[in-house]
Amino acid sequence: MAMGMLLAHAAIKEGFNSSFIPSYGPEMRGGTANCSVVIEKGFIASPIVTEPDVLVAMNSPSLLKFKDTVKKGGHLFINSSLIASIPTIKSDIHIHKIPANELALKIGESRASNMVMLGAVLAVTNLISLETALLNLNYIFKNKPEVLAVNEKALKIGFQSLKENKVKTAVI
Amino acid sequence: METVLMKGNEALAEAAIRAGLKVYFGYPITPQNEVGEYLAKHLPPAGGTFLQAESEVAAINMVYGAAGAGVRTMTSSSGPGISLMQEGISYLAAAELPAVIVNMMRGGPGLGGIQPSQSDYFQATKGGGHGDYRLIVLAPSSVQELYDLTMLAFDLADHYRNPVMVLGDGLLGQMMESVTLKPYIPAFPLEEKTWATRGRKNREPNIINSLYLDPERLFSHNQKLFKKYQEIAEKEVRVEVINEEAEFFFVAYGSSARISLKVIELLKEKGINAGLIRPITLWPFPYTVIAEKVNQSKGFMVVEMSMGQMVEDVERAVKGQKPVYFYGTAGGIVPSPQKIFQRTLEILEGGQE
Repeated sequence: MAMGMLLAHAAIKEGFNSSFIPSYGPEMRGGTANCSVVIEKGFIASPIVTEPDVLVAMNSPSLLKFKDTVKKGGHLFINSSLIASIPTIKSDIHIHKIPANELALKIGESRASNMVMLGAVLAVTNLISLETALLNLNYIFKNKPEVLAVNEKALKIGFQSLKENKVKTAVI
Repeated sequence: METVLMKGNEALAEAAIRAGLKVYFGYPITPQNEVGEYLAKHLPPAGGTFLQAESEVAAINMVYGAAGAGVRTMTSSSGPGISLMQEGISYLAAAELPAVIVNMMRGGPGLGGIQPSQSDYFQATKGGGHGDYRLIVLAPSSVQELYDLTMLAFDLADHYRNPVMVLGDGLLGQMMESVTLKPYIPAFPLEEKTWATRGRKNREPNIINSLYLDPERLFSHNQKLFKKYQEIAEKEVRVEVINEEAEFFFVAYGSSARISLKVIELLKEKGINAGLIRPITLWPFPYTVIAEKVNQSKGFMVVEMSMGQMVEDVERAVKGQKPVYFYGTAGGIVPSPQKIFQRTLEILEGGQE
């Protein structure tokens, strides 16, 4: 959720229109949650995402639920720390395995795995620049300034994991 | 003017404050709780009052009282809560009191669910409460429009002394989108509410009432109300037509209109020139605008998150001259653009009637 919200907010700062839809139903009352983000130059026709260009799966149930929806040529980011066995995935998309929790632990905050993941997404997709994401982190953590620094680190370590270590990127 | 990422429910609440909302009464229900949450925090510093009532029945009657005192007032709820308010809404319409009522629709009937729906169209546009009356019903289809139309709702309510409903849905309420926080500019000159009951002083007493035991007097009251409704129907129809020259038209409002826009993009890739008629006022309904498209359009596809309600008004406009198709999902399922696209292709290429 924080990942999507930051992305949508920062996109506006870069002059795009954006929309963000959270799940607010039974998922929020226990289970896995999801959100959809649309970023467009012009008016956003439908904020509903049925065929994403980019899918980020933080855990197994989410991966199973959405893996087949990714558009041909799109990108699937898998949190390999929490998703041990990866199911069959269609062959016409790019798959990126990010050990987000391990990387987050490295900087001392396992809860920052979402920002690690977002960093990795930005390294591959350039949806928004890393700088804009860093500058707008306070939008998400306005009530918790004490966690800003660690989340900045998380974004950077996630970004570098794909920028500098292409070995982890398996393009199928 | 600032452009920010804002949740629909919060953009609506912010617009209400800027439009001069003085007192808000409500009772929590998903998916519109952020309206109350936002107002509880931001309305008092702006000089207003937020009050959580003991029930929706109480809330709407508090709205009646506040409107009678001549201040800008609002309540918000969703399906089940709006049903509880129907008696009060009928009283507001009868007593000609300006008020804004927000319904962020969720799946019904009964307690239903908490996911988005458009199944309260009949209730909003055809009555809901008892007696011959009309609500002005505004149907935003983006967070920006939730903001803009909420401001307009207060102006229309005051100008026509009539309750106005902002009919959104759970999706619009919950989603975040870019919104430009425009300053409030009244759509009509703000008139003094000389009819309000706020201390008689030296004038004749003002009476706010909806009881007329004499049938002649009640009939003439009905006629007076309908003269007003006639004027509203003539002056206040709002509609957006996208792609005026289209050979096939979608008719949809709110979230369904956004989804239909996506379908139109998909059809364009197939070389099909489709357009959208998007009612912004559901009452008064844009019958004429739809009728004007009958000659050029092969047919009309109505998309709703219901089992089919507005489709009846589209049929009234088309008068059987062209086929009217319907695609709907209910219960909180948001229709998929791909499925509507497939269905439309079948119709257009299969020559299906």
